[in-house]
Amino acid sequence: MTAIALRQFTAVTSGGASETAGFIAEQIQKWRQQLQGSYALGQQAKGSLNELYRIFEECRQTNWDGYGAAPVSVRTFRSAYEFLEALPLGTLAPSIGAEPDGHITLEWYGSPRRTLSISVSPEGELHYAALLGASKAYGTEVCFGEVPKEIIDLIRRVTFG
Amino acid sequence: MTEEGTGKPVTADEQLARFILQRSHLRQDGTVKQDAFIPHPWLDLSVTRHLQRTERELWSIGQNVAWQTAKTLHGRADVRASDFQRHRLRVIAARVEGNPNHANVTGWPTEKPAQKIIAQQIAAAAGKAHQPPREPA
Repeated sequence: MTAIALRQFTAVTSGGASETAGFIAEQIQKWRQQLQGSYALGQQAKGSLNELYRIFEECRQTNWDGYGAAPVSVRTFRSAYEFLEALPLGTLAPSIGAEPDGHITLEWYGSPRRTLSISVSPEGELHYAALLGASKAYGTEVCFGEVPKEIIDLIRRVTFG
Repeated sequence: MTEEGTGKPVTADEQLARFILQRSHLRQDGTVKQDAFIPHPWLDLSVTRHLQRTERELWSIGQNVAWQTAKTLHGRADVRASDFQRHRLRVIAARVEGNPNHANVTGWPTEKPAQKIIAQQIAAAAGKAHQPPREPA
């Protein structure tokens, strides 16, 4: 997110009394700190957070896909944000998207047959599916502040072969 | 536009179109993400049968879908009915007003990971999306 966008978004949300507005304002403050001063976050990670914000903005209304999609909720946004923050340093940045059920998706893509997609639910569940050449893997994990080892392994297998 | 064949059962070799109305469902290289094939709000996925339609007619249907929902048409993913059927999904002809070629892909598992692994394989089969014509059809 650019500094201008940050200022605009803060201006919109700072006067709100709702829990949503409060949470987003808090997140914006965290982002500011990270974007302006952190050496821990690489350029790629910053790009992912920007993309996450853009997707959230695009998909927070019902029917954002034209087929009756559910909106991406603040809870889902928060869960995805926390997951991105928890990724180990040096992890290649995923592409961010959304699914019609309102989940946010994080995709690591090597080729059509080497790809990992993780759906983040409002409850913080990580539904994943991976094509790894001739084999495949899918299941559900939960992120409790740390990215599950299964997910880390899949990211490595997709991005480094 | 003829309605020939729209009431007949869908055959395995038929081409089906999924119109892409969300930019993030396409990768930068133009290939389709699995996100575009996740069924919602019901366990159905809307597709359009090619049948005897010309490219121009297909795009016209897509533009109409986009227009009805005030969205932008970003592309069209084409897959064969057999790409769904090999995952035990069924493709059922389901004409709707404005799109006699409409069909529903049904029989999806209810568990999200199981939906995703199927959607990924369908997206892989779809490959690159077709770009909409510059001029409205």
